[in-house]
Amino acid sequence: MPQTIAATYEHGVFVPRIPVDLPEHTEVKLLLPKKATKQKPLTKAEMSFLALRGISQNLAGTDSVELQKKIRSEWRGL
Amino acid sequence: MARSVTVCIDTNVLLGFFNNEPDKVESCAAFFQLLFIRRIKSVVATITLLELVAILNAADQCAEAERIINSIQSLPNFSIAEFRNGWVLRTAALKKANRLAIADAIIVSTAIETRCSCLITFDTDFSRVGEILVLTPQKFLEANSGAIHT
Repeated sequence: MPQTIAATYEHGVFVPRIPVDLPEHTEVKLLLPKKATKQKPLTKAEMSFLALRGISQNLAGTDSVELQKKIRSEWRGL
Repeated sequence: MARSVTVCIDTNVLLGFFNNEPDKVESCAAFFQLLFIRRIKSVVATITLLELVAILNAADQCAEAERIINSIQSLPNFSIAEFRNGWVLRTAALKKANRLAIADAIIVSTAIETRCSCLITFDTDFSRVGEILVLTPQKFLEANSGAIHT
């Protein structure tokens, strides 16, 4: 009856997590995990956008919600 | 959260990021990073661009305003939504039903008409709006927990 054991892949070799009693050079089958999907790198435009963090230095000390309310209050009365 | 998520971003979220506001900038940065990594489609209303430019121009930051607008327009998954004639009746109804400022109603109707899953804002005035899910960047991140790997 086949036995399932856990192993770790290290430096190109599968290392069993528990001792195994097998003759030398016994061929085994391995069930490999699905390879993790590699993340797409950010585009140049996205990196440029993120680099704009803090660009509006002259507004320091103000709150964006209050600024938004202030400019939208110009529409009040409609 | 639905498989295909589109978000509408309110002015204060962009401004909080560009303004480096201590209580907002970290969640905004993480939020934008998540949008980019996940290729999540985002909608920005024309009025938001106008507000950004107007606020920055008032602070004598015309060059910064131009850089910001150019940058937003160059983002592949960001759409700039112009207000359409066909949205007028819904916008007026939203304004009345939720006692919104007219610009706030335009933002909400833009989000709804462009089929956004949620509106991202720090403004609690939107919390009474029932027609669309309203989240802060932090709440959006929590709803997509474990999604950021830089």
